[in-house]
Amino acid sequence: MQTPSFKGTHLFDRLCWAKENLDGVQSDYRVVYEDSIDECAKILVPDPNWMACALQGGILPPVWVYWELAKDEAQPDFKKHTRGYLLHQTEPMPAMTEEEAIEYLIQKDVPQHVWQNWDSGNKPKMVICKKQQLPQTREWRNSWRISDELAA
Amino acid sequence: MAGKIVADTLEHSTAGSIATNYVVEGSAKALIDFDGAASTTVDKSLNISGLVDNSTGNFTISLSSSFDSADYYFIAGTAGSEGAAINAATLFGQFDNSARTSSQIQCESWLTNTGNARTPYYLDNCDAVWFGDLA
Repeated sequence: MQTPSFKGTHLFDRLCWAKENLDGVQSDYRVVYEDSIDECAKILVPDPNWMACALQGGILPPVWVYWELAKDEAQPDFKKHTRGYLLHQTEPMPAMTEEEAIEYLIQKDVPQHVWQNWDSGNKPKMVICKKQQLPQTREWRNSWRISDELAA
Repeated sequence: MAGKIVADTLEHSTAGSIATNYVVEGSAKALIDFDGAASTTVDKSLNISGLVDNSTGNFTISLSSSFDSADYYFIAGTAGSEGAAINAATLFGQFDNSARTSSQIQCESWLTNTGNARTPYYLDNCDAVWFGDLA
């Protein structure tokens, strides 16, 4: 299906169009990351409707738009977003591969200090894997860590 | 988009009228239905980009189209089958208000036993709805 020309259309309206017209895509990819030495590993799960939008193209804004809004929100005098138009007016992203979509999602939803320095230190702070590679039960969930063997 | 209707008021023949801003502002802006047990998957959603499994029963949900601030309505609930199996109530709701932004919210699911002790727990049917003004 061809994506309508959405530049200038409110992002929420684009997402509603996608929900009506695209089948969700359950990705097998998972992003495992550690953002604190005191906490267990966290696991990012892509949303199936979001993944469908990423693969379709012409719907999602570039990821830098989210960074700009996050910068605004981090200001001490922030009350409300005044640059929401960036979500709606910026040229949407073209179709991505599933791997590109995961990279985009990392930069959107994982803390920047994790993905910007994921490979510094004694072992990786972040790993992209398939869900089948995760432990198959939730036993000892709060002790899960990225394996030291990945440091090689 | 094609098929656009611009109107400030909707009027019914007998039941009266309503300003359309109540319709627009009063409709849900995001939805999620996910399985927080087993492999953690999103079953149904609108306006969600991803779900982070932080620890036992603790999740961060991210939105695609952000709200205009962190001042939005968030309503969550669960019908986790685990509670009935072990004779406990199940809860799912916001966890940490300091982690709440215009595009992310941290939630937790719990079991509550008859002594009101609350234990984070994976529940298999967590639902949430957001209302408010988008950016």
